[in-house]
Amino acid sequence: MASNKVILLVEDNYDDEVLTLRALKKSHIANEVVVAHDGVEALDYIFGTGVHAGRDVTIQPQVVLLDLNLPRIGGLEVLKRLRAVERTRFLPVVVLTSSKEDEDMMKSYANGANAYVSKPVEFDAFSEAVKTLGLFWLLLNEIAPPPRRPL
Amino acid sequence: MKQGELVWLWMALVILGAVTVLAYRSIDSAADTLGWVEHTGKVLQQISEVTAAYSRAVTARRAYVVAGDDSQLADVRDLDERLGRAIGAERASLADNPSQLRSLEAMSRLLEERLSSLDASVAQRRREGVGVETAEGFALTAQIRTIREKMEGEENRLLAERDALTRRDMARTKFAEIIGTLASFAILLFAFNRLRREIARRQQTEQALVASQSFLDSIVENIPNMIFVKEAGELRFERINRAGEQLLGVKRADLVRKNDFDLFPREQAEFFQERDRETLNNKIPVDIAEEPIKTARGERWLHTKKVPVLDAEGVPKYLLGISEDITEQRQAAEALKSAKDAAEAANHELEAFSYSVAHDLRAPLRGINGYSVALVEDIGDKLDGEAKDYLQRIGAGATRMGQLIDALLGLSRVSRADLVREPVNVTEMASSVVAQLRMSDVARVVDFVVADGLRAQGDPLLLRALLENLLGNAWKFTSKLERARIEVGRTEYEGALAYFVRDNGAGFDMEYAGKLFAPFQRLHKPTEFSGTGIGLATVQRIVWRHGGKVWAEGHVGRGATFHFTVDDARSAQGVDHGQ
Repeated sequence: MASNKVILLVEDNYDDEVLTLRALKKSHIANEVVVAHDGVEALDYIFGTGVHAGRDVTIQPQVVLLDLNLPRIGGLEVLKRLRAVERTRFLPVVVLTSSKEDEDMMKSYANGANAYVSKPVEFDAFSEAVKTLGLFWLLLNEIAPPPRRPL
Repeated sequence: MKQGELVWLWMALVILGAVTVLAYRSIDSAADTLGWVEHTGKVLQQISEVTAAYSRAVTARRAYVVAGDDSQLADVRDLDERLGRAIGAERASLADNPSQLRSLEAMSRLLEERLSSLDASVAQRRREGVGVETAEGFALTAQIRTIREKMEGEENRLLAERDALTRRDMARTKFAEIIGTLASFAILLFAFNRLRREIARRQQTEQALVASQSFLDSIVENIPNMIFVKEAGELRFERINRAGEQLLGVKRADLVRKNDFDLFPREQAEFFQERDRETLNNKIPVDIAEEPIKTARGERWLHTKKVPVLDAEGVPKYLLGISEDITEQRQAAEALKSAKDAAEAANHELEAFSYSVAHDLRAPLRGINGYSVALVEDIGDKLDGEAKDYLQRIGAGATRMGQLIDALLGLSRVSRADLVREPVNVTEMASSVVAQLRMSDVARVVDFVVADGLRAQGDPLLLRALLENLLGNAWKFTSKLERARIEVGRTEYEGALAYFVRDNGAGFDMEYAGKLFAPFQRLHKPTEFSGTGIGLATVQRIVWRHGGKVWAEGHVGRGATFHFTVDDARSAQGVDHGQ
């Protein structure tokens, strides 16, 4: 697998973080996983600000796994801000959440989510889902190139 | 006045006028003739006077001529003058009667002749001492007498004639008077009669008017809404009914001739009069859905309709107002609204709660399940069978709790979702659910019978969830049969259309039928049949949301039947017997 491609996991729940990383490992996805624990951290990483100031922002994650219920800045707000900026407009974002509410799903798609996945309680099912996601977004999907025009 | 009455009046006037003219003319004519009678008398007297004067004049002369008595001769001149005056007077009187005048002139000449003859005799006596009366003289006297008698006769004839005329005129006058009096009587009687009848008629009309007026008054009085009338000019109250008095807490005597500013706070009075003017100026009724009004019993709310009352020329004359006291309704509506607001707030809270259940309760379950699985994977070979089994049970417990949470959220979604009623083809929907069930276990042998032409008015998503639950139950509880039979059909219940889902599966004990629809209530052990105990609660909630009923019949080991209605008149009409 192409290990140079980074996965950004935005997750505030430690258990979910551990289990997601375990599921990725079990699926033999060896890509670097950057974990942001809230919306602010996630945006800092993507835009090279705050704790991630000075990061080379020309390198962007292959996929963002985004929880909705996050401290400080929520998942939907993160999504909106990504879609508002030219450079991250086409960044693949998969909403990965506990919520099965229709409303959350509708809002996510309305704000430009590429996929919506509800986290199952059963770990086997969960790890199956993560594996499928990894396969699709890291191997099969071709992402839109970032614009050449500097910001 | 009516045309007929005018004719009668003219007729009476003409009759009375004619009678008056007739009487007047008779009287006039009688007076006239009476004058002539008088005139004739005068003429006759004048004739006597002439005769008397002539006799004296003759006698004075003859006394000397015959007897030598000259005592009277000195008066002869006076006597002759008297005779001349008498003749003159008579001539004047006879000016209108030429034949009599001629007789008078003839007599006058004869008189002169006779007197001249006597004067000659007087002169002879003086001269000769003896006078002689001539035969000629006697003849003259005889002629004079003849003429006098003729004149008298003529005048007497005239007198008689004029007398008769007078009597005739008198008779005519009397006749005219009688006719006039009779006509007056008749007209008076006629007029009186008509007047009496007219008075009676008017009295009747007036009584009828009074009766209808008091009928209308009592209706207005008894109408339980406030009714008031204001005059269009200064908008002063003219009338108000009893309900109005009670509503405002004001006696009508204290209200009539007053306007809104005398009775209500300035702001309200301005509002009322503004609406009044609007009604009167536009000449169309105005409906004020809600208006506050200060009364002796505190502030009340009215629903008022204002109507312009126009006169014959279309000019607004009065303003009619009808007010209903909606204070209680308004309070009820407000109470209802606050209850609704509270319910909405509670619903909102429920939504927030559901969300947090969905999100927050599931996360730790994932942890429990995930770590127990991880333990088995990582150190499973180091654990004995019992410990491994426990770990698996921990994982399974977490999984089951996740299912229960999902089921509970599903139930709450059923309660919260908006209900849309539209025509639903139940037959088609049930068949699609059946196909889904068959796919889940192709090895099973189940006879499905879905009646044709089942239609309902309901929410398609909710009705599908309902059918999925009922058919899913039937599928589940017949799973131990070699040959199962599941039926979907319709029946009648209390005059309405009811649907049913029947199976020949495990059934249930009717004693526990009441527990069937309660959430998490199960009548079977999990080892016999799996399930969350939420399915039938969901069914019941869907049916309730449609305003329908759901009930079940069953026997242990002999199957169960679930009936439901979606209780709507339109759903009954939706049954298409033709298909």
